[in-house]
Amino acid sequence: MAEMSAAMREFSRRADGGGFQLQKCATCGAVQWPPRDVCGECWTDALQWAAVSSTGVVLATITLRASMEEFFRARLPWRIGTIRLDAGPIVYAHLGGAVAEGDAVRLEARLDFRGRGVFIAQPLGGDARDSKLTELISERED
Amino acid sequence: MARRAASARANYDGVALVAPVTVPYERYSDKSAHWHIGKALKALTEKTGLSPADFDGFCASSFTLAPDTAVGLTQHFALSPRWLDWIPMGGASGLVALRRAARAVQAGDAEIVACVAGDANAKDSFGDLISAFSRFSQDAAYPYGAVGPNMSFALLTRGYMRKYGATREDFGKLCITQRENALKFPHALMKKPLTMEEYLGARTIADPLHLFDCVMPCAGAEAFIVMREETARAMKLPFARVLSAIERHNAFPSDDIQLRGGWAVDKEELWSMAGVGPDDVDFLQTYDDYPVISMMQIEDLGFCNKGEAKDFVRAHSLTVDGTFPHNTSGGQLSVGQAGAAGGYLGLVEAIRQLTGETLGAAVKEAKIGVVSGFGMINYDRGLCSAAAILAAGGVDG
Repeated sequence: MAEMSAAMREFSRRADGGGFQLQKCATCGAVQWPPRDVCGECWTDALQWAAVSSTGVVLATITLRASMEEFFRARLPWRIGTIRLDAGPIVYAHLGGAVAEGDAVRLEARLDFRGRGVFIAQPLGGDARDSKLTELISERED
Repeated sequence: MARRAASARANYDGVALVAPVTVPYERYSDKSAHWHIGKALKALTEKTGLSPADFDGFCASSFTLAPDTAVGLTQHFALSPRWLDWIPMGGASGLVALRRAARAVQAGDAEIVACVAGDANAKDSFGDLISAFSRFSQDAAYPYGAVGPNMSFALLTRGYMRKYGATREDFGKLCITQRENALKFPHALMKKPLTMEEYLGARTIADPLHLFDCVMPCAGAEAFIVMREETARAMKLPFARVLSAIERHNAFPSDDIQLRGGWAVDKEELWSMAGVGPDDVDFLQTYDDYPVISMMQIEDLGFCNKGEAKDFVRAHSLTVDGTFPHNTSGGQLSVGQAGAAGGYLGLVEAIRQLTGETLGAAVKEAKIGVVSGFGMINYDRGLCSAAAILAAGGVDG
């Protein structure tokens, strides 16, 4: 399994079944990303995993033409983007199909080929997962 | 609770920056970070006549020194400093070192402070460095394509171009004029002129970034000494003075895309403390890990309005002999990025310009220079920003 923090491992465990759960602060309600050990807003450690809104808006997208991992190198070009979740945080996501800047999207949390929990951005009400994205979440290196 | 007004900060009077040194860069090197830092320290002694025992302050930065930090280096180099600092701030390291060392010297905590940054670059080591760059990036950025900083900078370049209408040609002009400067700088790894055609035609790394928008990682080191002005005068060492300096971390955390940096928060104080304005500046050294970041600094430091760096770049010639000399040694885009030494490159070059010790082309009668730093893509944006306004000090004859 890839190197990751304990909090990220917990996110990944929850994403494994296809659930979309992020940490939410029981004190101030702030939704966290990336995973933390203490709330980034009010500094209490009352973070609880909770199902939160999985929709957001695409801020910017790019197309990668180089990578340091063989999985991606074999499948370039590869599209990713940043998304502002309606729940608050900014996340990176792999992009399904024609997802473009300014689009409202729905995020899925899945395990990738190295056991890392990752986000995939999909058009609202659709599934634009191509074969590359299917491989991203179905292949396992270890 | 009501927020108190920030206290006015004391000036940097009486502080001298001396002995700008560079350990020549190499694309790849089998030599360690310890070796590079040691070479830089040796160069400091050769330039000043100081001996190792004269340094009672020591400050280091490196990405490739693990498991050591500045502490371990004291034993490596038989130093017994009474003031020690370790600054893991990448592209802001040099300016933050300057700020801290200046305060130590003003307060009498140290007399003579060696500030150094150096990094190794063995073949195939870069991937290890970026896959575990920070906890947030390891957890939530690197998995998206395993790219490293190119990913964040491609996204912010994209956002910047969309919002302000800067074009690839504008970025190209920055890169091309820096290359012209670099052709006269002996340590630059890039030795050939760059044309707009070559710039625009280069292979894509991550749209809209292409090859010449990205720095070349390499090995090397940079260093300088901070001491009291009277010490520099007594030793007859040419020196630069510090008119003002700022740093800021994690500015504008709620911006969707990082289109501005911490300089925008602190620029009023930067200029008012220095008692000079943008028109008084003879040269600017920006932190140029990507050209969009240089454009951001030109705006956020107040050389033009937000979003107008493209017009500024179009209106000026940016070479050493131009109307707005910028990155006079060629910057990281042409000299190379020697890890944390990339955060020293512009500062060391600025000290050279102001002390008449240039290795490449000299800005004519350079009296005032601005240096800016930017560092540490922790997740989706660079967290550290810093800047200083420096002035030529000269020596008493």
